[in-house]
Amino acid sequence: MLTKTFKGDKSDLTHIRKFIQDFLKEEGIKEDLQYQVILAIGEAAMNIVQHAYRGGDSSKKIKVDLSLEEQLLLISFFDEGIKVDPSKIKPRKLEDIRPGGLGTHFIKMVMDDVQWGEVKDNWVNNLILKKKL
Amino acid sequence: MDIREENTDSKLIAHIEGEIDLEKTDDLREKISVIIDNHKSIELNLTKVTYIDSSGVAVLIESNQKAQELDKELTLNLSEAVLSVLKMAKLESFFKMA
Repeated sequence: MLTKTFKGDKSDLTHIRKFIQDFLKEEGIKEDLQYQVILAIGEAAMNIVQHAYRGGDSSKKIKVDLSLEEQLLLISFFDEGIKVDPSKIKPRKLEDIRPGGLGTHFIKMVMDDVQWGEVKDNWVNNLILKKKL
Repeated sequence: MDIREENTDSKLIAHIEGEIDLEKTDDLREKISVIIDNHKSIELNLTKVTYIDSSGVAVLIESNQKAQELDKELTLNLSEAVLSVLKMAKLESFFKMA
């Protein structure tokens, strides 16, 4: 498993995507699938910055765990922001065209499984994304 | 992300390159808004955009809505990366293509 910790700020979103992209490249995942996964991961990280950290807090952290076993990609995000109520996270209807509300749709479209895990230490939220590659 | 403006006889072309994510969208929104205010016909050339997330898509939707409200013509020229994201959002026919 690979683990890396980033700042809870939008300036580190590109580094989170690069971390995942390098891992997927190393594992030989084809480019179009890489792009889809990076999009979903980027949306998940952006949600943490926007909502858990209310637009970003560089004094707080986002920890990312990555693993690929038997073609199951598992990405786990930990943050120390505001506690998320999963029941309140809903994608907007696609026919209701307006800015916003697409990120959750992209995550659910790309990933096979989205869960909230148990947290320990100082972490507040643990978002777990899975995809069979 | 870089934006370069090119004035042609018929329209203003804004060439946008690189990755569009939350870190860049405030700047992008502001620059496109000014371009729409100052020109009648605008093309956003996104053929060298390698990544766009939902915050970038939101800027495109807002820009399209602003152009419609001001009776301006806004067209998009897309990279495969941008087109694939618009297709995922079922937005490919929402925009007028260059």
